[in-house]
This record gives sequence, C-alpha cells and structure tokens, in this order.
Amino acid sequence: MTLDACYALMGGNLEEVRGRLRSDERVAKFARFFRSDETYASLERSWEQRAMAEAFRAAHTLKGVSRDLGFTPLHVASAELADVLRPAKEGGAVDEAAAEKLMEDVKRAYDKTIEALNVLDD
Amino acid sequence: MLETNACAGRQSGYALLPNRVNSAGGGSMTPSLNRKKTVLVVDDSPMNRELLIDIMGDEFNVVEAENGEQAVAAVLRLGLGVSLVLLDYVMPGMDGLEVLEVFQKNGWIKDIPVVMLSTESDPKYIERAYELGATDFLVRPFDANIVLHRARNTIMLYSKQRMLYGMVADEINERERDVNLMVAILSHIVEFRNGESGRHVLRVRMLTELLLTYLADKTDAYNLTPDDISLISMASSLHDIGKIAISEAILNKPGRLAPEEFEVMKTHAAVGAEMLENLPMGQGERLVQTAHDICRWHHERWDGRGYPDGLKGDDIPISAQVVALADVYDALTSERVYKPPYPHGKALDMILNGECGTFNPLLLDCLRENADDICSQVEDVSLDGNRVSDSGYTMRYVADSLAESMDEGKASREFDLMEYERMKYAFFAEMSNEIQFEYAADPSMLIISSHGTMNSGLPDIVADPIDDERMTKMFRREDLLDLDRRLRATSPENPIVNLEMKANLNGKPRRLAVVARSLWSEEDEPAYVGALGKIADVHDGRATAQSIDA
Repeated sequence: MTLDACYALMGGNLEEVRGRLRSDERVAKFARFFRSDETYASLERSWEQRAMAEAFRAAHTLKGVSRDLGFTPLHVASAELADVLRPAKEGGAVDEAAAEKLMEDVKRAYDKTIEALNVLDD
Repeated sequence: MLETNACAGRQSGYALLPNRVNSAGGGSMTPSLNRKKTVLVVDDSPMNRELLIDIMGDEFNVVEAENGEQAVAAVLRLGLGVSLVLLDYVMPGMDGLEVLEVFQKNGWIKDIPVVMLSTESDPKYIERAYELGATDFLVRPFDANIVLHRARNTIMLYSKQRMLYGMVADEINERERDVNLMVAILSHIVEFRNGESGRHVLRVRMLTELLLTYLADKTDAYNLTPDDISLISMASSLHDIGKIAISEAILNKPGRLAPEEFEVMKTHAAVGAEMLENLPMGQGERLVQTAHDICRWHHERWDGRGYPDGLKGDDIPISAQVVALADVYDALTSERVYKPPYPHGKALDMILNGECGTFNPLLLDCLRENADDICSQVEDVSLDGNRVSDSGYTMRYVADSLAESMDEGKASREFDLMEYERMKYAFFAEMSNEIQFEYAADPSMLIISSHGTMNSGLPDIVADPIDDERMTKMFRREDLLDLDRRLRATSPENPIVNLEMKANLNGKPRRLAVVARSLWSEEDEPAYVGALGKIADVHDGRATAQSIDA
C-alpha cells in the first residue's frame, strides 16, 4: 500500500507531515519505525499496574510521536488521556474512571494505526 | 568541589597552540579541528531521537541521551565540544527542568545553549525554562527546516560570543603583559644598584601572589578578588624604589650597618612612598595607591614595632603585610652582601619563631601550610625568571565579568567546564608515562605540554627543535627530519603518523614510539600549521604507545 493510502486508512494527515518533514522517504521511514515503537506497550503495562506517573509519561510521549507523524486519531486520543493522567506527574490523584475510558479510545486508535502501517509498502 | 587553579598556571603549553590554529579569529577557547558541530539530543523516546538525527545528521554530529543523567554525563565527557543541547521536558528520572537546573548551577548554561523540545504549552513550564536559562524552544511537531535553522542560528550566536570573550581576553592579556614588562624593567633598574639582578623583585612578586592566593582561599576577611591579587603582585615590584635615594656605600656595605647607617637605610620606605605621592600623574590610580601603601609600609610589623609609622595589626594594609613577609622570606633564602642564602626550612623556622619580627598569624599559617609549594615555585623563578603572573587570572576574570554582566541573577560557577577540561587534561597527562607535546610550524617551536613521568630533561619550550642542541643530543637529527616530513605529508582527513625512533634518554639508549597528529589551518586549501603528539618509551616493551588507526 502506498503512503497516501495508508494514511487515508488510519485517518491520518499526510499533507501536514509532508510539509514538515520534507520528504516522503523520511515520512515512510518513520512511519515504519513506529511499528516497533514501544511507547504504546509501555503505556499498556503501566496502566495495568496503575503506575500513573509512568503512564502519564507514556501517554505524553505517544501524543508527541503521533503528532510528529500525523497519526491524527491516535494523537487526539493520547492527548486527552495525557491530560487526565497529568496530575500523576506531581504525585496527585487521577480520575481513573475517565482514564479507563480514554485508554480504550487510545487502544482503538492505536490498533487502527498499526493495521494501516502494517500494510505499508516496505 | 573543584577549586579554581588560581596559582601560576602550569599549563602554558596547552593554551598556546589552539590560538595559533585559529589565529584569524582571535583566541577561541577550543580548537575547531572537526568541522561538524556536535548536538546533544536528550529525549527518552527513541523515535524522537531518531527523527532529530535524521533531520540533523547530515550537518551535525548528533550525540544521544535517553535521560537527564546521560545528558549530564555527555556534557562532562565532551565539555565545550557540545555546541547545542536539544532537551525534552518529560523524561523518567531527571526531567528537562531538572537538567536545566544542573546546567545553570554549574554555569554550563553560559557556554552551551539549550533549546527545549516542547509539547508543553503550559506557560508555567515555559517561564520556568526561560528562568533557568533555556535559550529557545522548538515546538512540536517538528518542522525539519525550522529545526535546522534554529540549531544553526543558536550555535552561531554562541560561537560568536565565545570568540568575543577570547578576543577581549587576549587584548587585555597583551596589555597586561606590556605593563608587567615595564614594571619589571623599572624594578630591575632599581635593584641594579644593590648589585641584585632583578631576581629579588621577581621572587617577591611570586611570593606575594602565592601568599595572597592562599590567603584568599583561607578567608574572606580581606576581600581579595583575582583582580586585587594581580594588582598587588604587580605593585609589589615597586616596593624598594626608595633605595634609589640611599647611598651606595650604605646599600652595598658588606658588614653590619652602624646604627646611623641603619636609620638612613630605613628611610627608603618613606622616601619611596614620597616619590609615588609626588608623581605628576596617576594619583587616583589603584596601582599607584597600592604601590604607595606597599612602599611605605612593607617594613611595618604586626606588633607595631616596624617602621616608619609603627602601624599595628590590620591597620597595615594587607598588601604591605604580604609583601613584608615575602620580602623577608626572599631575603633569608637569597644571597646578600652580608649573608649567604639560608635553606628554606631554616628561613621558615626563623620567620615562625619571630626572629624577623611579628606577622599576621593568618599569613604565617598560609606560609606554613604551603611551605613545600612555595619552596618549589620560588625555586623555579630562580632558574627561569619568566614564571610570573600567568594569563589565567585575566582571562577567567574577564570571562566571568562578561558573563555576569549579561546576567540579571548571579549564578555561581560551581563546576566550570573550561577549568574542568584543563584540569582533566593536565591530570591525565601528568599521570601517563608519556611526553605530550605540541608543535607549531611557523615559527618553528616545540612545546612540551606534559613531561608525564618521563625524565627527559627537555625544557618546556624549544625554539627550532630540529636544530636545537638539547634535542639533537636526545634524538637523531635525521629522525626528527623524518617525522617532520611525514607530518607534512599527511592531510586533514588522514592526520596521524606513527613511528619509532632511537633516542638518548639521560645517557641511556632507549627506543621511543611517537604518535602524532598534524594540524591544519581553516582555509579552503588547508595549510600545515603544526602537530600534537605523544612520545612513549617502548624500550622494554612495557610501555606501549597506542597506535591509532588512521
């Protein structure tokens, strides 16, 4: 699958990324990298253990990466999650119910993104 | 806690070559031997680091750090080799702000720009980062062009700043050198009448500088800045100018002075001071004022039994107190018309026992605690009259002043990178059993920056080394010519030369291994300007020079 098709499938914003990263080669390179990126896995892990500060960091990183690469749905979901988890950074309490729901959103977005990336031409 | 090495700098060799390599740009602090600048990327996400490397990797040498601790380690390792830091906020362990705090506390933030990688739009974070000295922000998502431009501009700004520091420091340095020279000549003339060679003045100056440095380390009571120490040391050269007015018969009388002769001799203190008071110009100048104080009161004593005014305790300006002690110590350890030189131990004992009058107990502590160091440094002055006030004070002082004047809040330098680099270099060099050298091609000069533990007997600086007698006694001339030829035949891309040569070390034949790296000018067609290298004794196969794969 081409880059354009891949991004269309996941609901991402390829044009915007192209403008910033300047070459399709680069965009594709990093899109492929993302397949093996461990940030989501670490988010899942820390959420399961309810290690909130770590979860916040993972969500925050995920938000940044998905934004850099134009994975819009994933970016939106992880941004919301990061906001809810933010108090944990300073050791404060977190709205776990809200976080739980947002985790599901993130998972959905992540799966969709990975699905699209997996059929990207190598 | 690392202390500033305020004593007469021993690393003169190291400072020399970088200035030559960059002679067009004035004295920059580090030689830019690599064209590519180094950027340190600090981010816990491998993806982010990878992206920045991809964007910047062609133009810059990128070093990665996953967290704050690694970032700090990288800066310690590379020092001012890091031209720019790109720093993420959110990381495990030390976060971005905490890294900035370390940078600020150690004063690194003044030399190395830090650009924050930001997804944090919270104004609190941004403000705090600016407070801590962050230079700028790169907002996510990254735009490749913006990243590159920001990096280039920031680095250029800082390197111009560094260059300016260097140029200003050089200027001031030269001026100070000229003044020092004039003062030295003048005092030499004064001493000439006593049959002294001017060494007395140099030794007193060295002692004054040393004692003031130890004193400043010990206590804040006298408020001695490096500038003060420099000034007082310089002024100390004038302490005996009053002797011009004393008749030769008395000055050079070999035996004991009769009481009325001694009274005449004593007038040199007041007379010298008067001469300075009657100068047609310079009355407000600190140098003149200080010289006056020293001249008039360098024979006062702590208990008030000195002359001419019988001042007591700290009524005596500290400048005069220190010169008094320096003067006595030097008089005891030098030959005079009326006595031979005493050994340092004896001189120390006599002073501490009060046989030469009483002194400030703090000063005596300084003398006693640092006796060995004082002894060896003063010896060096005797052997080679050039070891006086080094440029280290001025450059550090100027650099600090410039840096502080750009600051609203004063950040103390707990860990100065430049000082640390110098210290690192000097320490490792001294520990090794190799000689480390620098060579400048034009004029042809060899500088031994570290003798290590090898006892070569070579001086620190040899002009025209290939034709120098001491060198040709040690090495075969054809070997030196061969090394020179091979170095010139290298290129900036392949600068390393490895060879072995026979040498005569303290009368014994030894086999030495030389590894050298040629240095090139920054022009489009680089010219050979010199070399760096090390020499190891491999005679017994015990010491091995590391051969570098070129």
